[in-house]
Amino acid sequence: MTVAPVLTVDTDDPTPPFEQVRRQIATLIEGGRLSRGQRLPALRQLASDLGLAVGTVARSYRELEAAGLVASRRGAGTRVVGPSSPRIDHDALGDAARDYVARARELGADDAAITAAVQAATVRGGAPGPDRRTAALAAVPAARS
Amino acid sequence: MTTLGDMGPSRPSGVPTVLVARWLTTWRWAGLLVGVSAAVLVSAPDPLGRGVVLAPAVAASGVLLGVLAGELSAGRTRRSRRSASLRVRRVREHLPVVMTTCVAASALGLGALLVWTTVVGAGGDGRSLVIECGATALTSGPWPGLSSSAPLAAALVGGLVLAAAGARAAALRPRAGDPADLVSTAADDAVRRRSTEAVVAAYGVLVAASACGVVIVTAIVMHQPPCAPVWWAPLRWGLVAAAPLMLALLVWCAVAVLVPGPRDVADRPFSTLT
Repeated sequence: MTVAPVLTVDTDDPTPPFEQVRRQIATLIEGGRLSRGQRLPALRQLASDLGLAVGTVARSYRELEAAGLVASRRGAGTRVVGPSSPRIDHDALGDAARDYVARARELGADDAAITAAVQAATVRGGAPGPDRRTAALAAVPAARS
Repeated sequence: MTTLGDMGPSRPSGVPTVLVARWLTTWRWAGLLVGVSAAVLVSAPDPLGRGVVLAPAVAASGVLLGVLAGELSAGRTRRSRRSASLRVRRVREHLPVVMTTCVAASALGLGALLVWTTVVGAGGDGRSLVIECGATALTSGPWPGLSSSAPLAAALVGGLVLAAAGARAAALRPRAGDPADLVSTAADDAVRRRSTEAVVAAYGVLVAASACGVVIVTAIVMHQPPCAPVWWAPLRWGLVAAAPLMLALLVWCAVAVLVPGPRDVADRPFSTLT
């Protein structure tokens, strides 16, 4: 069982509560942590959990729906409908790639070994395991020879 | 400034789960005491005997109202920083499946029986069964005709409304403990299941106790008239067979209301759950 995303609202914050809720849900959707088709809590549930008025949460949902991120249907609740793919932070992705290449160079890997290790990790979804480590270690002697 | 995905110890959490569980248990027992006391008063001698008929409904309603009041008043945080999980909570997640099925089937059966006894007893005064065999009219009673089936039906419907409200309140109560902590979330879900079980069990007491009375009285009064149709005897014996089943359901539900199960967090003396 995994922990579902959690929203946090600060009533002392000058930002209106409905905007805090809207912004966090929008960020979760755009970052891919809420997938398409995933159902959001009912208005009463979320309002009760956050100690807010139902109308405050309703406004957040309306604005998300106006932005095309969610869709509400009577009897089916509110579900995530967009965006179609998560927006990628290309700056952060570039930094992660440069860090990886620098570490791989320290291990003595050449361009081919670095690329092969990334492809192997992509196939396994990035999950850690002996195969990935074995493949990475196997690539290093080939790079050094 | 709001933060997203804050997993640190400073995460705002709700009221501790143990406190919420004890609050709900207190309200459940208070409702039970009030309900039983009211049922004793209602059972006072009544020319039409409706007090005794409605006593189980009154007692069960006390429990249902206690659960409802407890759930509606529990877990309201006053902190400025509040957290909420985006996991959808549904009433059916917390329902005890087997008990709910048994109670629902019994309620439907009792409703159908009351409709039948009302229709069959329509020729009398609502409290006795009149069977005409040719020129002879056979009268026997007490019969659960309109004078008792109408208030019982109202009690069944009213109890169902209270039970639905109580189950919904248990599902929608604000999350106790830390919504981002799996142990805390599991404990809070256990408290919700306990409340929902108490609601189903209380309605089960209402249904089973009422059904016991109706089934037994009907079976006794349904003596074999000379001109009885073919299905009369099998129906009577079916009611005789149903009586112990309703009694077993009554005992099961009464125990579920009174005796805390292993999931009742508040009754663990050294619980350290938050």
